[in-house]
Amino acid sequence: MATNPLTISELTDEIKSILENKFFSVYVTGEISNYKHHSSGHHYFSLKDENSQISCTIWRNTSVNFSLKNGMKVIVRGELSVYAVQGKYQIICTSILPEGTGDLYLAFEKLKSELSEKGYFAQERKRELPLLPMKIGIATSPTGAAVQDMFSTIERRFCPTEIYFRPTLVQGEAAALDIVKAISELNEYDLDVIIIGRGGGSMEDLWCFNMEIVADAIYNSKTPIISAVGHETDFTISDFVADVRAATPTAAAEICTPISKVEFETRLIATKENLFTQINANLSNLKKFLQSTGSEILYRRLTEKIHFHEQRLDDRQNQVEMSLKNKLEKFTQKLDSLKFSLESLHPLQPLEKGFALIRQKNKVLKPNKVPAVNSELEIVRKDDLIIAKVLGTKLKMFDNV
Amino acid sequence: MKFEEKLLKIDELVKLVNSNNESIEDQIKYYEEGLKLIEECRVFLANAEQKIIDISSKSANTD
Repeated sequence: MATNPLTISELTDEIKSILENKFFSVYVTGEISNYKHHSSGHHYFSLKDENSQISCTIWRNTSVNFSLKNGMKVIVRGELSVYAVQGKYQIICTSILPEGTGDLYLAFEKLKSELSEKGYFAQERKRELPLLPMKIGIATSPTGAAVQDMFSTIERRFCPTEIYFRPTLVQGEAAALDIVKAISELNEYDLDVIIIGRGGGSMEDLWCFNMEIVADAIYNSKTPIISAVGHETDFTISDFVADVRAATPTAAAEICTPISKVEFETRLIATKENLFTQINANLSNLKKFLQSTGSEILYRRLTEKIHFHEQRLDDRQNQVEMSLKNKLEKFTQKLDSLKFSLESLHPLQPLEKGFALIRQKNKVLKPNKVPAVNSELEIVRKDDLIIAKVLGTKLKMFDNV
Repeated sequence: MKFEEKLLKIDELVKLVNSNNESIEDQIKYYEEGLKLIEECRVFLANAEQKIIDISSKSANTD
């Protein structure tokens, strides 16, 4: 019986359907080869053993916690997928672990989700580091590059900082407990920040920073903690619990010295100049004020004073004038009365009343002088003069009047 | 006064010198105080040396 041939697409669809249904979840181990991290972010490689190989793809949004390298033995979890365009099947990986660390990864993921639920990683728990840490605690191995990197970075950037160094085991079975002790001991000093960390290493090497007792010690530390473990790509539980995660120990030292000594010196000089400029501006403003507005005020005040004194002077003058006038009036009155008195004393005044004045030879006849008989007398009256001749004289002429 | 406190004080003095509410006499006082503190900070920075205190001996004793 003749059947129509399938098209390639029809065949591929059938294969795809069978393969993808049968192998929708695979869990395989193998060695990485032909690794390519594409600029799109996706990872492409083959997994192989002695006799076979299979293509693998990791899409860029799948988390990969370590660097993939050719020759590395890994365990992947994923699904089989047929790429019809090239007639190729491949594993789309949903997770990838280095072989041998599978158990550690599981433990890591388990502890991470437990602590996350307990709120150990909560963003609102994270403390701000002081702006300028002056006392820095460091817990790391006394040997190795990390400690020297931190010391030299801090010295280079901001040497006035005091470093409290607690040599600490950061690898091996006793390490976790020693880190816990170091955190507790450093907390006895009044430090601004504590750095715990170490340089790079394998996942097993860094493992002490993934222990729950270390997470607890960081969680309970009074002093803010920077976790600086391994390289940029290494993440540990302590990184998640710490207040700040630094990519490397050197980065932690840089975080602790946000402003370098040189920057400080530059800023201090700038501040000094700023102060100088400002005080000069203030002084010259004041000078201008005094020269313009200020002098106006002074002028106004001065004028007011002058007016005040002028008024007082005017008042005084009025008073003086008034009193002079009074005095003058009094004088006038006095003069009038004196004139009157004087007039009443005038020797001719009695003539008005009918009295007469007797003269002889143009002289007033004095009372004690007795005129001779037959001598001539002038009797002066108010309006006329009587010429008379003395007939005779008697004493006490008024006695009989 | 600690270095950090001096820096804060300098900031405060700069604000006062920049302010319009202070008398010129006070501002001159703040200016002089600021200069003094700046100089102290510069001397501190110039003479500073890194100090590393190893606390392991202490922990050995208390263990």
